[in-house]
Amino acid sequence: MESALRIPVLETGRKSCLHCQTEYSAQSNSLFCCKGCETVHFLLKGRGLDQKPKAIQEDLSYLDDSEFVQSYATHESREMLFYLEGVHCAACVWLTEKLPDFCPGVEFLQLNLASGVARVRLYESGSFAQAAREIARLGYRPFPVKQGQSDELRKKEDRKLLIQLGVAGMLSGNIMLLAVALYAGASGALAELFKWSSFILFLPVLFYSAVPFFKSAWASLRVKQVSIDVPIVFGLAVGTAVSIVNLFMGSDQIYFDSLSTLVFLLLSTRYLLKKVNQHALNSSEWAHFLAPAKAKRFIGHSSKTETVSVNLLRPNDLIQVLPGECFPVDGVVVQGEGAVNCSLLTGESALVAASPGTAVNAGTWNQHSPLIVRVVASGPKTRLNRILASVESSLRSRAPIVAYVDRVGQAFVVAVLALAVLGFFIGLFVSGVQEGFQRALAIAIVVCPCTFALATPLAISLSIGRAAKAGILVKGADVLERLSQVRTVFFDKTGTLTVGELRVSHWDQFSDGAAEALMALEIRSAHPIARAVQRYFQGRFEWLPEVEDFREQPGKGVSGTIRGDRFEVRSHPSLDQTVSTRVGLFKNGVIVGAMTFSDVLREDSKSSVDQLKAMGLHVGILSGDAGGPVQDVSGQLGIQPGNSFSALSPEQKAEVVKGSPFTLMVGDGANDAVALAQAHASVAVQGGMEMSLRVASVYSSQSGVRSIPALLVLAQETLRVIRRNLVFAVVYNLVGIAVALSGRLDPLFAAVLMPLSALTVFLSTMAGTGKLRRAFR
Amino acid sequence: MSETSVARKETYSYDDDIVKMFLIATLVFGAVALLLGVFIALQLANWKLNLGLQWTTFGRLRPLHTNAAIFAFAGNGIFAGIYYSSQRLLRTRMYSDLLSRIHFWGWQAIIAAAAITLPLGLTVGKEYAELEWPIAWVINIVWVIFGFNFFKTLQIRRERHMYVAIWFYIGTIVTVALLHVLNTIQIPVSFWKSYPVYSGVQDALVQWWYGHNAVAFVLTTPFLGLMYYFLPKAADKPVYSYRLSIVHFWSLVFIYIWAGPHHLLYTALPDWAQTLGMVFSVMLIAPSWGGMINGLLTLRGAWDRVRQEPVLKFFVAGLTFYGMATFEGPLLSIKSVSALGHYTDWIIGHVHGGALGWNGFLIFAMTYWLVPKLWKTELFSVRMANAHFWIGFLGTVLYMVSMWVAGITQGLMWRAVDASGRLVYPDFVETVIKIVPLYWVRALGGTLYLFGFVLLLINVVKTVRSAPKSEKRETVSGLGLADSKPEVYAGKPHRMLEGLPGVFTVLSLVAVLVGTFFELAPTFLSGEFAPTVVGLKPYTGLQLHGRDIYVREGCYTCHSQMIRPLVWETKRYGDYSRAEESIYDRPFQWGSKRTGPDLARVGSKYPDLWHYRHMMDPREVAPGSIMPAYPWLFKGKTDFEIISKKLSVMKSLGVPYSDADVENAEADARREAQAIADKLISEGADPKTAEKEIIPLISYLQRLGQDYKKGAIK
Amino acid sequence: MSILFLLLPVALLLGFGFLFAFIWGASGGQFDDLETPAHRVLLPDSTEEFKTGEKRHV
Repeated sequence: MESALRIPVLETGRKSCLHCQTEYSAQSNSLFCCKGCETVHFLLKGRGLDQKPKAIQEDLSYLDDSEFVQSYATHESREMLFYLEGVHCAACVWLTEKLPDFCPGVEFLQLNLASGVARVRLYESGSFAQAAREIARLGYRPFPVKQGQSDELRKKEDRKLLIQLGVAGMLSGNIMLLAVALYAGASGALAELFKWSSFILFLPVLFYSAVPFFKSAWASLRVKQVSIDVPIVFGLAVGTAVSIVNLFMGSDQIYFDSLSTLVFLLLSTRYLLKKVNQHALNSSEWAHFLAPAKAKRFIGHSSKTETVSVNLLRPNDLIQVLPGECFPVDGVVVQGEGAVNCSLLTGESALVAASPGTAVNAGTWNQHSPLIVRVVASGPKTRLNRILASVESSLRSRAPIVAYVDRVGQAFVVAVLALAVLGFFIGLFVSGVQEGFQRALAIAIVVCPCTFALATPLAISLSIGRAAKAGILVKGADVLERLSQVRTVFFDKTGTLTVGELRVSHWDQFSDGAAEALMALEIRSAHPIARAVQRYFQGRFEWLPEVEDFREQPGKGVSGTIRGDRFEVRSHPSLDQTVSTRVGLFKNGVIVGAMTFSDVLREDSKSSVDQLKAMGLHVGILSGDAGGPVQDVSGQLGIQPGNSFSALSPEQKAEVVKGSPFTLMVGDGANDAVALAQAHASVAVQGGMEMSLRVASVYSSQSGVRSIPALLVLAQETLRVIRRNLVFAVVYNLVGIAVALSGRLDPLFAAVLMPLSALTVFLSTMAGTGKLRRAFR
Repeated sequence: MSETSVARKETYSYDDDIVKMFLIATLVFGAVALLLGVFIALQLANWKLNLGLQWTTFGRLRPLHTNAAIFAFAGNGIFAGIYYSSQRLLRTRMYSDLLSRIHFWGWQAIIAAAAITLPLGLTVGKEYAELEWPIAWVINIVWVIFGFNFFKTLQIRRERHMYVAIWFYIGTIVTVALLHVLNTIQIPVSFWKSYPVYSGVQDALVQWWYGHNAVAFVLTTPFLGLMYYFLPKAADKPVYSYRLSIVHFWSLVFIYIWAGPHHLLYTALPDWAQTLGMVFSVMLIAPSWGGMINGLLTLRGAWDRVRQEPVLKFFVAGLTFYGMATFEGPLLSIKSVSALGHYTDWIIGHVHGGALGWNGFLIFAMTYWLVPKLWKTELFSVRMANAHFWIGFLGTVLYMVSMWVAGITQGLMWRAVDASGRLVYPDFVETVIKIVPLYWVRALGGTLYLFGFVLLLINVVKTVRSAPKSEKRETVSGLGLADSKPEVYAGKPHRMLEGLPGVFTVLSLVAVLVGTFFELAPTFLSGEFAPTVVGLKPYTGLQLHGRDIYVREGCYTCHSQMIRPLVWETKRYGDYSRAEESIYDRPFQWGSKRTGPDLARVGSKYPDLWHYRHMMDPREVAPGSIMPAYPWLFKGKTDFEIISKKLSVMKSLGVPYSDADVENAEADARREAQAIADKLISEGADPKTAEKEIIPLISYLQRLGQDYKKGAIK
Repeated sequence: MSILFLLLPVALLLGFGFLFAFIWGASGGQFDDLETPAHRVLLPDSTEEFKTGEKRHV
């Protein structure tokens, strides 16, 4: 355990063991009073002894930055939400909720196991960074979550809807029992007692629980629209009026039970829909869960740096970017020599040399040595974000199918109102006001807007939820529909169809000792070819010769002198590059060994391509690599040569994608960004999630293309379920209205029929189709 | 933030002594209840076991058995569970140890009082509410003390979220308070005798509104609470669906209070009330089975351990019996099924399926899990516990099956009508003799269950004796909630009462006040509630005193006074009973079991001498009868002095006695008694019969059902 | 059956009592998180269980 760990000293001047609360001497710096406690503690946590949490070096001091706290904390900046990676059981709950015991300044930590989000409340003296560091020490990596007002509001709103639901439930339950007494023949003074009691009980249902319906109906009417809540409100109003009149006139035709049950059932479907949606949305909102990009900013002109959140960087700030890190902002290199991989923007996988004065862009990767950069533009103003912003707006639009269903809903609602009025006059004509009201009421109640209001969005949310569970993040409702229209599928080769790493296919040694020399040289470089060599020769040699004067030219190769001979590794025109990449080892200019690399296919690529072809889709490859490897891969996959294009720059890839309609682009979120953004629909299988989710409409955390066929099946089946619901709704409503018009439908029976139809539509949506269920076991 | 900032931690310890006390009381009174059960079961199988003594006769011991089983055994059991689980769920010690002790000793005092008064015949005569008014009031007070202590503990809790078990306990405390108060509103005649305010059909509805909800809120909701705490702890698995447990709690409590009428199907209750009762009861399957399914599915992944561990076996069997009983109940609430099952032993099978299977097994599971934890040692013998399970299981099944067979056999025999429309079994005793063997099987089942219980006692005693004597108090540390009030009131301008706990304390007090108000103003209230029927004469003083003897001897435990409007019943007993006939009956004696025939129209069906000899020795006039003899009615002197006080109390309750009736009540009664006695003495009865208690009883029995015959009521 | 003039109001009083409790609970956030309580109840209550760590199955 860390030596410099501080644990609060109790009044008794001793410390209390984290595990068993017995007190032990303050001098000892361990977190536990004894070895036993420490072992049991970790056993209890189900992590086993060997996985003692390695201290996470991540620098969390940015959490205390006043600006950051301002935007992330609530409750007068004393409470913040953290997404804890790795919480999974009761012991995690117990462990994390003991935070206040050994991290003074923390008032309480409340963990929600389902979402993995912990609420941390501090005293005035507390610090979020300290709390986060303690949590990290326990082994759970904390990510601050942008709580903002929306979550707080959403929680208040959820509670309000739950209370409205509870009130409607309790009251409709009791009103229904009073109604049963009346149907069963209660008479005289008691019948009056029951009628008036049910009226009094109905008032809160009408004026409190049914308010959401009134609000949304009023809002839509004000905008000259007719939302699906309008017939509900119409039914409620008519029903209440009729019942009150009958109540005062002493007749038995009172419908408080039907109306209250109607409100209760509609509220419960709305509550259910909200919960299902929230669950589905949560998983696709992962992006903003992840920590914002961080940068190390120099404080003034000193050489010390502080970790700061990216959106706090201002122009002319100096930041340090280490090798392997991504440039968070656009800027100019001030100090340091290195190489930058700008494949994301330019599509060139070759490295670009960087020296003081060269401009660098956000999203590009620093390869070799640390650089110091002066900030030119940050946040939304960087070139990358500007491109992505344009792409993102297109993704935000509502799914056409939902818009279409809404339009049908509009027409449907207007028709219902007309029919209700018609029903009133027929009833009036046939026997009188009473019958007229009864028929109008029956029509208003029997009509079921559930398909438009509930089933279509629910079907889509459920599918998004199902995909999310399988680790596939579908970004929006419209994406599913576009996926269902896909005709052709283009794959990026490296990293998507193939494993993406260069593998040594074979090595010819012309003179002995060449292998040791090659390994000695390549061991020092991080270039993909070097890594392939290291993997190939791993563990072959006990000793490696000494190398002096080692130099690495980015994009060219490496060289060094071993025992006086000059060895060089570079590609050589004599070796043909057509089929696969070949590299030669030269000793003082003479070739002593040649090594060929090839890219290996993933095992699931073949089966997935066959499945797609079986589904009648055209399959093609778009790759920046040379023609040879591309032909080799498309041959293995059985793709016609005409459909696979090679040596394409990202812009050219985008052109090809744009050219053919209804295409699905599957590729690497980082370097196929532009093509992914342009395609009709796109799946990012590689690259950072945050970057991919910005450009692609779907991000799959499963590597390889295994999930593509299942995703397309999901999309097609979801659309089939929506169409099936629409047909059911039309038939149900036509029959319902016809019977109601003829007067043979009693409002109570209508009040039972309508929720039943809502339930059927709901169950049919939940069940989906057999194919859908098989695709997503 | 300085290194030495002191962590704001409070250390406290749970009050486990109160849990031990209640647990021991549970085991002691469990033994009492089961012994009584076996004893009275044997009495039914062989009447000689009534021993001819008034204190050991079935009529007086059956109420003692039911009160012991429900309030002493199950009552103490839920208190032990509530005290243990609430403190851990709320992460705080009980608000006041003193109040806990007062609750404990008060409750045991009530049980002791019942154990004394019931065998002496001091009873109100309403099922499961037999305890006379002084004890009833002690129950109210002790219950409110328990409620107050519980709600104050809620207020100072350290765990913000209230686990579902806590909600079940809250439901129990509040509803039982209200139920008990409303059903025990009685006007005292003397220290040990009182008349309920309601009469006839009103009393019937309030009684069974209380009767069913006592079953619901004493034998179901607290046990569901215990299940939701102890089952996850024993199985070390989270409950299957916490959301379902919340939904089924609220759906239970919001509308539960309508139950009751299904005990009165085909009686003089208005038809619509019966239909309402039926609809409501069938609807009850949903919340009940919600609980069972949630419990059983909690064991997913731990089913292999059910083979070795007795605790899980008891839980699984208990939950299954709960599912069975709560399916059988709604089934019995359907009118056509009730026509067959009502008044027969089938009902007893249903009751004991729930009591032995669900309540018993859950208490055993809790005990086997709790004793090792409380006394910090291993259970003495797991094999013995497993043996207890199998013996107890067999006993329960034998009990239920024998009662099903007996009930359905008797039900079918009662209704058997031959082609010409005459009853196939006109003589009631035939239907009794037929099922006596099944009473033996039931007694065997009960004995097995008792034997299993004895194994539990041995196991617990041995475990406790082997416990280490270490007195180190087990301390726990926890953080006091910054504001013990839920944050909803933190910023609220109008400060509500201290949140939920405060509110419920008030609610219970309101319930008690409502009760006292009704208690103090009977005349105003009862007058309006007791409609008088023109021409119907109330009981004479002697008959009223005879009725009280009927109530004292617990005749209602075997006889009903309610002829149902069914063909075979009107053929056997005469025209069906009207509600008006029992408007002066305080308490109503419609009864719920026909071990003996219905007595609603027994008046003047047999001569006085028949009754005289029948009460002396039933087998003399009805060979084969299993009714016990009542020799003490021929020794005890009638207390004529109290009769006028009884009439004045009845008058204050709205019964149309004139002042003259009250004035010379004693003289009238003595004259009437003498008239009956003279006739009996002429036929060879003991010369001093006039002053014996048999006379008022005969005068009451001969009056039963007479009002209808004389055309007083259409 | 005039007793219902007493029984019905009392029944509804109790019903509303529980409704009020529901509203107090819901607005107090008792039903916000219905996943974690099921696990939190399994936590070892007292230090004894911590010490031995293993759960003594009976």
